[in-house]
Amino acid sequence: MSVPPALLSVAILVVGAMVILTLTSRLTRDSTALGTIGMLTLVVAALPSVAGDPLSQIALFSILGAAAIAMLLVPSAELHVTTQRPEVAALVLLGSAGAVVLATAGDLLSAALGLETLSLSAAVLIGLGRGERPLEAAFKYFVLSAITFAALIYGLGLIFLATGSFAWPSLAQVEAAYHWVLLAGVMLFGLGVSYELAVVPLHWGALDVYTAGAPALAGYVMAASKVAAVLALGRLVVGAGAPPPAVLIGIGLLSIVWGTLGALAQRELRRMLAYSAVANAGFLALALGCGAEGRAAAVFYVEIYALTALLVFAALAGRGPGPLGLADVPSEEWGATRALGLALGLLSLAGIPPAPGFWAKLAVLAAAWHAAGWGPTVVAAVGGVAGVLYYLRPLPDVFAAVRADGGGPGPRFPAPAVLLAGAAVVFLGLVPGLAYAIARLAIG
Amino acid sequence: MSGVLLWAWALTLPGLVLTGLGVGRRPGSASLAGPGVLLVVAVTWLLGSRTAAELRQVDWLPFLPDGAFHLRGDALAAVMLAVLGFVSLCVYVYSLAYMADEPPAGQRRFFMYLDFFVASMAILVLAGNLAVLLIGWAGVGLASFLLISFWLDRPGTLGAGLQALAANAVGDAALLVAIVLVPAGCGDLLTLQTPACLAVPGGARLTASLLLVAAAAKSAQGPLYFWLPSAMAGPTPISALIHAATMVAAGVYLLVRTNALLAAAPPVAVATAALGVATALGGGLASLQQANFKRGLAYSTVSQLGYMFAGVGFGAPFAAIFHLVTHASFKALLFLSAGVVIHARDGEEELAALGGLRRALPGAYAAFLVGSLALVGLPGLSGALSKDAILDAGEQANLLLAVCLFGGTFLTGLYIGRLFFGVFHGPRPDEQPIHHPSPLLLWPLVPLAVGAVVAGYLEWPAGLLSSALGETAGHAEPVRFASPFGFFAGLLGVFGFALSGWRGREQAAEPVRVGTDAGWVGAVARRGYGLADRLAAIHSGRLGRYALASVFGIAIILLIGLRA
Repeated sequence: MSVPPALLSVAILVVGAMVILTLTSRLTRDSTALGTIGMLTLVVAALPSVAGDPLSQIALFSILGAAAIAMLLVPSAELHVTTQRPEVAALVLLGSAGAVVLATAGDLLSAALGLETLSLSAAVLIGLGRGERPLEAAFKYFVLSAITFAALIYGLGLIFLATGSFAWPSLAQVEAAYHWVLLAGVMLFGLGVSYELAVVPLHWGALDVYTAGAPALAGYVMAASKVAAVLALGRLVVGAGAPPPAVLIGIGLLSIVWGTLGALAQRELRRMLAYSAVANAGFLALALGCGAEGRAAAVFYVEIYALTALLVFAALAGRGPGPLGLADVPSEEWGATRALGLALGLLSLAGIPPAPGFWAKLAVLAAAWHAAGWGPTVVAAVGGVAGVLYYLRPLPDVFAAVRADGGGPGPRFPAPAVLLAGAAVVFLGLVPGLAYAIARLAIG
Repeated sequence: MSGVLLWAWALTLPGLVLTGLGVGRRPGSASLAGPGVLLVVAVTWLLGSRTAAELRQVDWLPFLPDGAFHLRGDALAAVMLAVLGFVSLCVYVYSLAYMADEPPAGQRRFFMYLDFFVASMAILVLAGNLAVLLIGWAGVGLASFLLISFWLDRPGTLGAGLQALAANAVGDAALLVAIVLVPAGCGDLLTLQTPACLAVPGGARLTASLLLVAAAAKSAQGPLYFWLPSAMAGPTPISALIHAATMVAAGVYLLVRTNALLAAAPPVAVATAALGVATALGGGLASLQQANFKRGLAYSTVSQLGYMFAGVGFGAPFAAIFHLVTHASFKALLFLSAGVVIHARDGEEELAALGGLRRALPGAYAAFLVGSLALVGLPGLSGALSKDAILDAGEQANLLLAVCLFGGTFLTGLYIGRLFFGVFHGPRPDEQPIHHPSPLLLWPLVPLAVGAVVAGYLEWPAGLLSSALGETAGHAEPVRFASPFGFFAGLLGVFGFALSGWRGREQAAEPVRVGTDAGWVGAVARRGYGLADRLAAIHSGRLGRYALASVFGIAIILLIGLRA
């Protein structure tokens, strides 16, 4: 019997996590060994992708890539109990295992299990952060995820009722009289997965988590859950008929408007990034509703978005968990590398060509134009362009601060993570066609 | 040579890196070679065999209708590059002296931004399709923002930069929509008007309107004018290079490049002409209201860009490009000589505090006079010939609009005369000390002044410019020297100039009303932020509400989805 490559990766990730948990007391003192074991696990877990199909390849690459950057960030994470770094590393591995399962699952039941593993790991990761706010945010995230998970399970039941199996559903297998049962099931299941995407009206928990969690960990939570959710939703809507894509377009546009307006109102950098994550989730949902070309654009978008978000959060890591008001940006210690990483990330998020974020937005707009018409395209284009207004606001102050004191980035600055993520962003900016081609192969 | 032309956009990048690394005794001197080489490459190409070259890397962005990395080096691009190289070389040299009081790191940053701007602008004019155009388009917008906000510690610079960014964003959005709405395989700037590429709902009108919106945002036309006067908060060399000579003319360039599309959509062409004429008159009137020297010049730029838009709208793209070339020279000259004045007076820009500087700054005085006369169109100078070409085209296309434009020349004379006599003649309002300008500030004025005088003879009488451009700027009518219409327009301008000199003697320090800019933009922004605040307040942090909202959200979405 042959084991699917993705499953093999999941097994390796879980074993790695267990090894780390077993050796906790030793690894607490030796952060080099912790990093080595973590990275080694990720590298070994990526190997089976050689034999996999394009879908599992892209899932493994993007999720494990995000996890690798997160692993480099573990030493800079602001934790409530500083001896818990091994637990953090183990949770990153477990969360990645969940994300891989969600993205590549053979049936809906395994996908639901993956989703729950991912979402629990994420909640605990955030809860480990220093201060009161992370714990509160993690609790809210957990409760709200339980509510949407209930909807998801109910949807799973309806799908089973209509099709008699837990396989990825298709409208063609079902008698016309039961179409609505299947549709209701698919929509409930899809909304459950959309919680990971953080679209309106399921964004409340994610908003607090992105704001309050330690930056080093919040970036990973954001990246891994969005990548996995996009891949899962992309597979879900393929055979589901017309209504689910239309719903996705609707909530996508709502999220774009909501997130953009919310971000414009913020006076705090982290909160602004959190709202902008909602707007970006809107772009993803919009693209997912726009047919085959749109699904490819969504995967392309999420690869780039996840990487850029990781870069921005890595550049903010290690400077303390507290809020960073836009008015306080000039008095902050930045250092050139940190400032450059942040600038590159924000420019890409703002969609300034030739940064990759721009190509991603363009791909979504092109797909939306052909599948959804001019109305949604114009709303999305205006929303995307308005992003410039908030993303670029902190940048002049950052550079002014760097110029004024020329100080270093602080002792806990994760230079390797910033450099790795930055290099990847630059690479994607130069050859966007390559990433897009892979995305189209994975999910056409 | 053609291959080199295609890569001209990369010529300032070595300078950018070297300046960034701190090479050169004087910060920024390492960047000087870039624009010089750019000028040489463009002129050599124009004087040589003029074989057009193309670079096409298909499937660079496979999700777009035309996602090729497509560069096209032809005569129009070469002329634009020559203008860019010429003005930027003068501005670079000038900036060495103008920015000398900055700390060295600041000077280096300034020149790096400048190098980035020149590279982006070169990509913009070398772009073969909409996708590549957009890179340059957004790049120059970003460079403009960075340079307007260069002096962050001065009040208002960041706000001015953001205004420019916001206006640019409108244009970028229009261009984005244009890029994705064209049918597959379309996007080449020269073939947008083919029937296959117009097979979209809305057809030629929609595509042309989108490009018009993009161009109007970049060139500060119509309701999108507001950012350009505010952009004067940036350093004066920037105002000369970016906000007078090159970037703001990119909108005109785009319309000229796609003139065949405009010709396929006559209503949009008429709208372009009307927009241009309205802006030409409005900009002239607004300039008369300004209390600030540079803002007065900025409205003059808005007004002159209106002339170019009118030219394109009249179906005379060549006339627009011709005026673009001459305007680049004399308006950069005006700004740089204004910069000499401002530098000599320690940054003083208010007209009420300037006056009687004729004797103290003879170089700036002469340069500003030459620039002013070229602007008003004294017969024989460059502005006279190019404005003549636009008025001539208007006479044949739309007499009513042409007559309005003709009347605009009087305003031109009036406002530039007000600035000229107000700053250089009359009594000195105070006895503040004056720093004498260094030679580096004055030398760059010489080539620009020569250009302001002779640029018109590139076309008249031998037709060098139109034969070089060939069909790339549409079919060119031979420009007549001193057609009756144009001749009287020039005289009218000179009359206005003289009139303001005569008036200026009587009321030297008359207080001027400061125009209120961007009223509607401010209102929209306030509303938008108010709405945003209210929406953000929904996120109260209360778990119960969040849970309720999630449950109801799921239920509503389910109901809507099942009904559909």
